[in-house]
Amino acid sequence: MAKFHNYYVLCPLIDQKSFLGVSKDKEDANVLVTLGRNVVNKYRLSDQKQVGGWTSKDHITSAVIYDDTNGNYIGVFNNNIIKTWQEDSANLDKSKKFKFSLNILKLLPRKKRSPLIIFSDGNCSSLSYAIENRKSFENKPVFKETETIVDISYYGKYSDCICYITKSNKDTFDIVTCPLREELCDLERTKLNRTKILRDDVNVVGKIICMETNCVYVIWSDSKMSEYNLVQKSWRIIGTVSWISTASSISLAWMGKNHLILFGSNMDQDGAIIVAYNTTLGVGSCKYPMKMYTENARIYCFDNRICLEASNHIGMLPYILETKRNLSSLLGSHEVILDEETEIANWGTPTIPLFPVDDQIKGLLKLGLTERSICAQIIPNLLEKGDFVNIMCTIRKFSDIPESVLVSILKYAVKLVQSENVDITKPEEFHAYCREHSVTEKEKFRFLIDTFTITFSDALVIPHLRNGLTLEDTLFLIAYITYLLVDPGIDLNLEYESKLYDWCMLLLDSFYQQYLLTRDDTVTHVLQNMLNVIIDLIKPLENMSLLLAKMQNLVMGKNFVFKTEKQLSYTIESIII
Amino acid sequence: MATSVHRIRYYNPQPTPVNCIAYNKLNKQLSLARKDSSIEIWDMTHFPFLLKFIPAVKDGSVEALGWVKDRLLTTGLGGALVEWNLEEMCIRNTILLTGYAAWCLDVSPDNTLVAVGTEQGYVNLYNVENDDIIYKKLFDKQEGRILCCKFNETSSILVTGSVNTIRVWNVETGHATTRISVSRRGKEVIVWSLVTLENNIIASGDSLGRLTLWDGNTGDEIESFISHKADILTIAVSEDKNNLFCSGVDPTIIQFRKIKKSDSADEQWVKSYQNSINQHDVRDIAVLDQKVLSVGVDGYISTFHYVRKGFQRIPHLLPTPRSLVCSSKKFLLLRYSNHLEVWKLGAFLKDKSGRPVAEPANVIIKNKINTENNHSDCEKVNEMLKISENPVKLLSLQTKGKKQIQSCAISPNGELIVYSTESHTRMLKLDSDDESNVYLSKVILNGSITTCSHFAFTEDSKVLIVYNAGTISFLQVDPEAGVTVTQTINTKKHLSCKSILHFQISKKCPSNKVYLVVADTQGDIVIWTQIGKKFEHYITLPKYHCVPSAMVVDAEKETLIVAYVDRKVVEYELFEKKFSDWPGSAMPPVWYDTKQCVLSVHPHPSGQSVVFQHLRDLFVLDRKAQFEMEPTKKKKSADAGEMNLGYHILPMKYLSDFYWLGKSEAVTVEILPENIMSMLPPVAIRNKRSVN
Repeated sequence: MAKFHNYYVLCPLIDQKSFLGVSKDKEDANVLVTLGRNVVNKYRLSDQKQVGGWTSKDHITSAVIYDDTNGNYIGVFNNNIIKTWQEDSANLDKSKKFKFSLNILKLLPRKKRSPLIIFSDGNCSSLSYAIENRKSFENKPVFKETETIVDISYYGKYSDCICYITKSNKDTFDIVTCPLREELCDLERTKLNRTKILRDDVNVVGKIICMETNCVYVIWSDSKMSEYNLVQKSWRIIGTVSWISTASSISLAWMGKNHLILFGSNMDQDGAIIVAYNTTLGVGSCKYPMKMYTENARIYCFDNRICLEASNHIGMLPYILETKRNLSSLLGSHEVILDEETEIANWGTPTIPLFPVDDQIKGLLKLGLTERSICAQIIPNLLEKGDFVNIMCTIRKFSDIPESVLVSILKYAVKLVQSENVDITKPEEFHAYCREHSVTEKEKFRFLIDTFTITFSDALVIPHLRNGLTLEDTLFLIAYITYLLVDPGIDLNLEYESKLYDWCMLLLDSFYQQYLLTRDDTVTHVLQNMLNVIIDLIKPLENMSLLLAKMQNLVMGKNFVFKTEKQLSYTIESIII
Repeated sequence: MATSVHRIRYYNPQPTPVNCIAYNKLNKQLSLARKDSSIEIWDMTHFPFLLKFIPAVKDGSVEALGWVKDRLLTTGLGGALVEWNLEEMCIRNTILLTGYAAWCLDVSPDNTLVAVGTEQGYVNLYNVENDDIIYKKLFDKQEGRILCCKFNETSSILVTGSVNTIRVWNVETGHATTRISVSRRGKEVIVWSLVTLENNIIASGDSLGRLTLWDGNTGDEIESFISHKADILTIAVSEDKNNLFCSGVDPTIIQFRKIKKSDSADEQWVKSYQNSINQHDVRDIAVLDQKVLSVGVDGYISTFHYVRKGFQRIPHLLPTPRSLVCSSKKFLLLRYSNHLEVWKLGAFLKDKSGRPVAEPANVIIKNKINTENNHSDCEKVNEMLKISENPVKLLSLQTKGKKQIQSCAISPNGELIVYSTESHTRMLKLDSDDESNVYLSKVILNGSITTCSHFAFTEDSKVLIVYNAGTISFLQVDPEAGVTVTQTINTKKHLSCKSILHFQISKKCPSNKVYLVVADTQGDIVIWTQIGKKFEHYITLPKYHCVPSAMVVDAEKETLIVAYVDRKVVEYELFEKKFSDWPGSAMPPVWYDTKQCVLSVHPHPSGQSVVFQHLRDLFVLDRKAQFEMEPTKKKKSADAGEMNLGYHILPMKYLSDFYWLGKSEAVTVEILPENIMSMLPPVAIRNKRSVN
């Protein structure tokens, strides 16, 4: 990911129009600034000090470059004169001149090889060859007069191809590539290739040829960034460029490590912004706001510093590039585009029912009856038959059971366990009755227990309970639920237990008045017993909640408050006085 | 000698914030007003020593203090200019001001005028010449309250600060000559503090934490420093006008120095040094000599030396007596601002042979002790003793009308408690059959005893001697019948002023005499003795150039030991009427390194040494010479063979009081700094580096 440091000024710019460019010097730490027609300065990037410079009477027309094959500086003067000089030469007017018949557009330095000289008509050649044959050098122009060269760079493994971006008078851009011949480095005209930079309804706002990746990057007015691979000759859309306005032109430079640097107007168009853009991920990884936007400002990258042509100065912005992907720094950098197309999903709906149903229910199902009405039709019949094992199986198939049916099941279940045979006021007897029974008896109790698990609506069930159950039945049920709450034989099941409490409340609610009016000892006994059980159950919970706070403190590493202060506020000590 | 010391650490009177201070260069005294409106006068000649105390009044307020030569003037929200009688600690003159509550006061440098700034925006100008206060002028009324005011060097110009504005006034005409607007971006800015500098330059401190320098003639800003994170409440300037100190809600004290620019004659103020000895709001700063003294919400008096960088902090302690003991019953009387507490001290476990039983390796406190044989420091461990009885609070006694206590005493037999407020003196009889049953009954004071500044009980508790404003009264005490005056002495003949520092009656000495020793705030020490039934003037001690900070009569040896504020110690043989040889010139050099006053002196029961109580330690000085002479600063040449006195020091933090209970039992009343901290309000602006 990229990170910017603070912006500072490298040197002031006397006249922006005559500024020609910045290029690499012999050392990486220095740059050559071709300030204008007559002045070339050398600056050290680290402390922004001028470390050298030359002036000339002739007009310089292209950025001065350093040629590392001969170790001298080369400049273009008056469009058609090449001068070379050493670092220590004081006067450029006396240095050697080579006059050409053609106008020279630009010099391109190459690593360990002679620089390329580009002529205004698009022809190019290696400098050494061109100087030797400058008198006889004559070629057919590559481009028409309506076309202007916007950007030039060489690419390829041995920098054996050249690439131009040209602009026609209709504001359309073309990429022109051509392999270079060895040694002479002039164009192999037969292999010249032309590709249009064109998309519908949008226009180009920024472009750069990157020799490191052999690609041309283009920013379109819809914020899309695309890449043209010069080797594979293929287009690819990288992504959208956020933070930067595409209403005005954007200057680009290659930072290295998959990053482009973009300089343009900010989204509000009231200032400028520098954005580092990751071309592999297609996201902006860092931005730096600037005060002033300059149209077509030249931007370069030297020695981990962005070098920007601003309105009245050349600014520097040091940066750090890391290949490590830091997700947090990507947050918010990517624009999300909603995909609004709809798709009809195939759910694979089965045609056969998912559960087996017996014939009787099937018939009713076909009639389209609800579960409630099916229940109301089937269950009473089964209850009459007294087949409680079957009843339970049937009930389990339904999730919505009418409250009236539920009450009749309950009443049946109470009858089933022969509640009238036991005296609920005698705890031992009652417990023994609940605990010790044969297998069939067990089944009956099981049925009762299962009945409690049936879901219901308490508001609807109360009138049915009042009508369907007798006081004796209710008391038995309460006593039995009380027993279940503390029964050690039943597994602890939170859901089931909470159901039991619901039933308790329900039974208390529905027979509330009867409890109050009857002076029956049985009622008092049953209710008192339940109260005792509930209190016994609540007590440990209260203890637990007290303990919980202390345990929390212990886990957090806080000490218990020992009252040490009181001990220390008074002591008797033996001191030698 | 091993002594069982009851260390009382639960005496925690609430520290009272300090509102303002004023330093008097002439007599080197510092007046200090606390939030409860009590006023303290400190002697600053050597080490800070509390000379005088004016108790607080209900709803009183002192917002500003000023010295006119040796007259003290105060003003406050009551809207009056008050002059104090510093001999009798009462109001001498009150003048009502125009414009309600007063916020500030300044005395002109030539000591002729006093300006008071008020709530309604009136500056009241008074002439204070000829020991009087005469109305001179009211300045033109301005909008808003006047929060600070300052005369210039020639007393011709007065500068006032209020919300958003600084005004420069011509004292002669009473008209404003310049108005400076201080507000910033429309925000309200309060000018809390001002100083005037040379060349008519004004420095102001405001609620944005800015120190700004203004040209007083044109009203232009010269320079502004955003030095503090919160309001600057106070600025002080050094005597030579080359150093400025400011502080406030952000308690860092920042020093600004005037430097001359090398290339021109121009002068410039630069931030130079910052000091963070305070943690709570600093309310006022004074510069005395090369020391900066700051006070604030924490109640401490903090001083630091801005050239040598040493510092000292004195917590808020009530004036003496803070506590008293009754050794026969082991009662401890603790004095608070407006109530008294009586405690029964605890007891420690003794084994069969009567020796105290130590707590098994519990808390170990290490003291550095110089022992006889080994001059180098060796560490001695204090033993904690097993407590068999905890101390019991017998009673808590609220003063009538919740008035602040001026003085108090408990009789040696533990039966009588007497206290005095600014208007009443009350004596109560304390009966306790056991710890659970305590009865209090009022003892009637006959005669015209209203208020008293000092009390002393004779050894047999039968006579109470009281002092008030130049009169010593001897009262015969009978708990049943009441108290009657038997004798009065007017001290005018013997003492040079009416305010006294020490008032002690000795035990019966070997020569069968009882001495009454009185020291006043001018440094006179006068002794009366009982001849027959009456007390008669016995002797006046030769006058020393500073006041005694502590004194005691050693009844065994019949001598008076006096420690002066400059740390000189003398012993006077009362029977022989001459100075004794001890300590002479044999003071160990470390004695003079201790930069604090002796708070009390206690002869050791064994007669071998004398215990001097300081705020931070107990200094035990032997009576016989032990160490070889070390040259000290005070003595230029040391004769061979001379010996320094043996000593050892027991460090303690904020030792309020020390008493002997018996031959091998003592009481220390300590106020722990952390307890003071816990009683203070939370800190508004925290410093990264701070003391404590």
